[in-house]
Parts: sequence; structure tokens; C-alpha cells
Amino acid sequence: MSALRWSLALLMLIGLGSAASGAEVPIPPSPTQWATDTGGFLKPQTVTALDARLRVYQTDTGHQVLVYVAPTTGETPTEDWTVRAFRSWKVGRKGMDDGLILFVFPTDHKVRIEVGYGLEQTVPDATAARIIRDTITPKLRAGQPDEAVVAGVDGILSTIGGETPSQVATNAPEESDAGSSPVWVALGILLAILIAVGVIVLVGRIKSPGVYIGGSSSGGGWGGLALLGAGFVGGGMTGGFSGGGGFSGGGGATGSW
Amino acid sequence: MNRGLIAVGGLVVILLIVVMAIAGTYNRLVTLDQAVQSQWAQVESVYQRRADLIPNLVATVKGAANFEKSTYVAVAEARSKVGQLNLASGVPNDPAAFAKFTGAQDALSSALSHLLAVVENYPDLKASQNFADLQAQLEGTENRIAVERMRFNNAAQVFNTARDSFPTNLVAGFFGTRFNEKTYFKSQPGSEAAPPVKF
Repeated sequence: MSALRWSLALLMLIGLGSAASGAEVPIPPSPTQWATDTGGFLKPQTVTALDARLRVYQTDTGHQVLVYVAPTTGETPTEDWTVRAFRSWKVGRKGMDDGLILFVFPTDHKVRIEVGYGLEQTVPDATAARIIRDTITPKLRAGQPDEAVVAGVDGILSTIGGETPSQVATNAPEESDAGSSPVWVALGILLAILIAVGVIVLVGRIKSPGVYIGGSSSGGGWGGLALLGAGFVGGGMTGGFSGGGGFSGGGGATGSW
Repeated sequence: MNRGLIAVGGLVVILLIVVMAIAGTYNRLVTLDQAVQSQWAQVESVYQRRADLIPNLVATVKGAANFEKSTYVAVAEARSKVGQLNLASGVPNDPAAFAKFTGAQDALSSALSHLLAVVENYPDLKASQNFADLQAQLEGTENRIAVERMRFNNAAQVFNTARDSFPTNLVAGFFGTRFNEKTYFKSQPGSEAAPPVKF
């Protein structure tokens, strides 16, 4: 799984490398994982473990709970950004609005728990604020980002309830081991190279129609393979997160550290 | 004879098309109007949520030793003015009622922000669990108010745009005040610089 994500990240680097960042930070497209760290704030194995845990949590309870770490919201106020992200990603089931996102913005030193309409009774603002104040921000101040986020998720899931003890146990170092086993890494790298070559060939053909890297027939072949590879990645993602159509109305709490 | 029949038939068909078009326009306006009304209900409910927090807030600060009385009295008074608002339907359609509503709510906002600023001088109160919870609720509610106001403005804008474009404006005008233009929330002067319940 994590290999797929690596190859995907590589793909995104190739594809979106040119996208410059301004003061306005646009709402990114919906994450495809339950736990996302775009800034390398957390250890990869923490993200993998949280992702596995939240995925199982959704399977068991139906609640979509996400962790999203991004460096900053830019000039946009935290709450404004998070409510729009929630809306754009449609976290939680349609009509039930029972989703929740734990946001961390390390550059801004902000944490926010954004609560879907349907969970406002279960996770009132005061409770969300306590989770942030008592468990998350002290650990962030102490320089323990992984512990902070995991403890935050502990607090959130135990407040909503329904997480079975076995899930907590599969907090899963072994899961992440399986995820980064050499075979998967090799496959992921191979796939990424295939895609990269395909993209380069395609771009080369578009930019300079006269010059083919490796001749027209093989170029076509690589392009086809790259497409196949993209199909593979797409196939792997069908098991990923996708929003259920939920809404939030600005409920939750924000904290700083 | 035959020609006359065709002419009449043609006229009937044209009339039918016009009636259908008007009906379609009317129904579309009704749908958009409903969206505005339901968003208005959301706005009212988040303001109500804030009003419901105030008795508890006032009781909490009263409990603190020597708390400046005028500040919480001002909040309680502003709260009671909000309570007296006549929330008969149609506030978004009626600029005067809308102005009265926002005026009362804004007065409460400023009384509240004054009170919360004064609380800064009472470290014991500020550190208490009870007050911390209330503060979190107030912040959450202010944030909800901002969100629902923005969504109301969006819904109102969709309605107004439809209402004012040709030929919908002819149909809307035909039904008189039924499809009045919706009023927007304006950001309070200075509120962009300093959100009311933030420290």
C-alpha cells in the first residue's frame, strides 16, 4: 500500500512539480488516504498506522475520521480553510454528516478539529477543545508530533466510540513492515519508472514532434505501458478514502502551540 | 376556415409555451427561495445557539470575585434584545427586519467581546475548566455563525442573480413582493481585523 503511495507521490512530483505555491493556499483535492501528511511532519510509519486504523474504524462504525497534516493555510484563517476543505472533500456519510477531520498545520502552529454536523452532539466544541488543549498541544510543544497526533486520534475515537480493542492493538508496526516490504517497494519503483518514462516520452513527443526518444513505435509502447501503470495505481486506489457526501458547519475547536 | 383554425391552434400552442415557461421560471424561483429560507433557518439556529450559551456565561463570570458588573449586565441586556426579535418568516425578504436582526446580534457580539476582553484581567476565572469550556463553545458558535452567514450570502446571491436576470425579472416582478431581492449580511466594520471571540 505504502509503495503504491510512494509511486503515486513520485507521479505527483512529476506531474505537479511546476505548480507554484502562493500566499493563497487552495483547497487540495480530496485525500485518497485516511491519514495524509503533505509536509513530512510525521514519521511515515505513524501515518501508515493511523491510516490503517482509521480505515478499519470507518469499516466498523461508518464514521469517516481523517487526519490531515499540511504546512499552512496561507493567508486564509484556519477555520475558514478547514470548513471549505471539509465541504470539498465531503467527509462523512451523505445525510448523516458524521465525519470528522483532525487538521495540523505545523508552519501556522495550529491544530483544528473540524466536526461534521452529525457529530456535533457527540463531539461538542468543549470536548474537541479539551482534546486539543489537554492532549495534543502539550505534546506538540514538547516536540512530539507523532505522539500528539496519535493521542489526538485516541481522544477523538474514544469520544465518538465504537473502536474495537483489537483495532487499537493493530496500531501496527507489523502493518507498516508489510507495507514497506522490499517486493512492494521494488514494484512501486518499477511502476513509477515506467510511468515517468512514459510521461517523458509523451511530453517529448508533444513538445518536439520531430524528435522521438527511442523511435515512434517504442514511444507508443512506453506510453501505453505508462497508461497501464496509471491504471494499476488507479486500481489500487479504489480501496482508498473517498468522501461520502458529508457536511460541516464550522463546529469543533482550534488550538495553537 | 382551415387557415383560421391553424392560426388559432398556433396561438394556443404559443400561449401554452409561454405559460409553461412562466411556470418553469416561477418554480425555479420557488426552489431558490426555499434554499435561501432554509439557509436562513440555519443562520437563526446558530445565533440561537449563541444566545443559549449566555445565561451560563453570565452566571460563570458573576461567580468570579469582584467581576466588573457593568460588562455582564450589558451582555444580559443585549441578549434579551436578541430574545425579543420577532422572527416571523420573511426576514431575508425584508431589509428593515433584516437590519433590526443584524443590529441586535451585532450589539450582542460587541458586548460579548468586551466581556471576554475583561476576563483577561481575571486569571483564575480564565484558567477554570468551566470557563475554558464556555470559551470553546463560544468560539465554536462564532465560527458557525460566520460559516452560516457566508452560506446564506451564497444562497441569496444565487437567488438574486436568477431573479434579476432577463426574463426572470419580468416573472419575479409580476408576483410582487413574493420574490423580493434578498438582503446580504455585511461584515461588521472592523470585524475583518479582529474576530470577536478570539484572544
